[in-house]
Amino acid sequence: MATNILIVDDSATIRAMVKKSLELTLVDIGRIHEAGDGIAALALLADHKVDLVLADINMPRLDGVQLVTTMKRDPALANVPIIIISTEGSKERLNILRERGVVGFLHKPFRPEQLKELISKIVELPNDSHSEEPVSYDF
Amino acid sequence: MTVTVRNLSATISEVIEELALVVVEEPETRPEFSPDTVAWIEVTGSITGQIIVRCRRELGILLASNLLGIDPEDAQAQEKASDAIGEMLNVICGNLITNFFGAEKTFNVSIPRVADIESAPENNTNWAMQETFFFLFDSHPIEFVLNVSPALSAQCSRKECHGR
Repeated sequence: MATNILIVDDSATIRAMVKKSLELTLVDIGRIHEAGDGIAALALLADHKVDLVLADINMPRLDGVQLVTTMKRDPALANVPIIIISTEGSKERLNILRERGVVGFLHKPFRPEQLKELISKIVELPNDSHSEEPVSYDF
Repeated sequence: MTVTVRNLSATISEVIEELALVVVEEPETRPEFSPDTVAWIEVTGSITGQIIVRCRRELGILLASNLLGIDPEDAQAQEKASDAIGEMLNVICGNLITNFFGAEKTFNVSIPRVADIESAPENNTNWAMQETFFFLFDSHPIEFVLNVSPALSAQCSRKECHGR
């Protein structure tokens, strides 16, 4: 089944770059949605079925940590896997994200192959793997 | 980690070469150029600081085209030039923080702002240390200004700083 993906980053260049990188993955990509911040992401998630969220941390209005927190509190969104793509290096902040259910982290700058590898691992997981213990790859 | 101009340059080179496949060089003399774009980003947390870059828009077009794998003449590269400069600054800032201070400290980084050269960032802070560096990104000159608060500068000499 095709995977619908939401890319959340305030940089239109990074969104376009991630979108291009997704084309290199072997994953069957369905629709790719884009949002410039957490507020726009939540609005989009309310209206569209999304199977995977790729989000930055440092964004205006609602940042990546707040987006993750809000999604995990919403039963309709709590099981949607989230990968963070960011320059963040703080162990404390990464631990917070891991505790809140983020399944992967990709550090900027990244190569398309790294994104491909990470996404391939996550979308191959059975759906019920996302509901209990979060699975970490690049933390 | 001991932070010097040399490893500041090393971090910037590593990040830019990986991010946008751009070769970074340190010019022997200050390059003569007329920047038309300014971008800046602020850091708060264990330290307070600011990085300002000045460059020409052509560099933004180059970054956007390399990031997206498209021709510099492509409308998308032209359209995303400013955004690419902002994102470059964001990625450099994040990596500098981690390289200099490690993963144990948490910082808040502002959203990068990009504007025409006339729009200088507000500067109400009495920075204890200000350093200016020049680089060539694929022959495009770029100026980096590093402003640092007293808290950090107390740990730093002009050309050497001991990051914690």
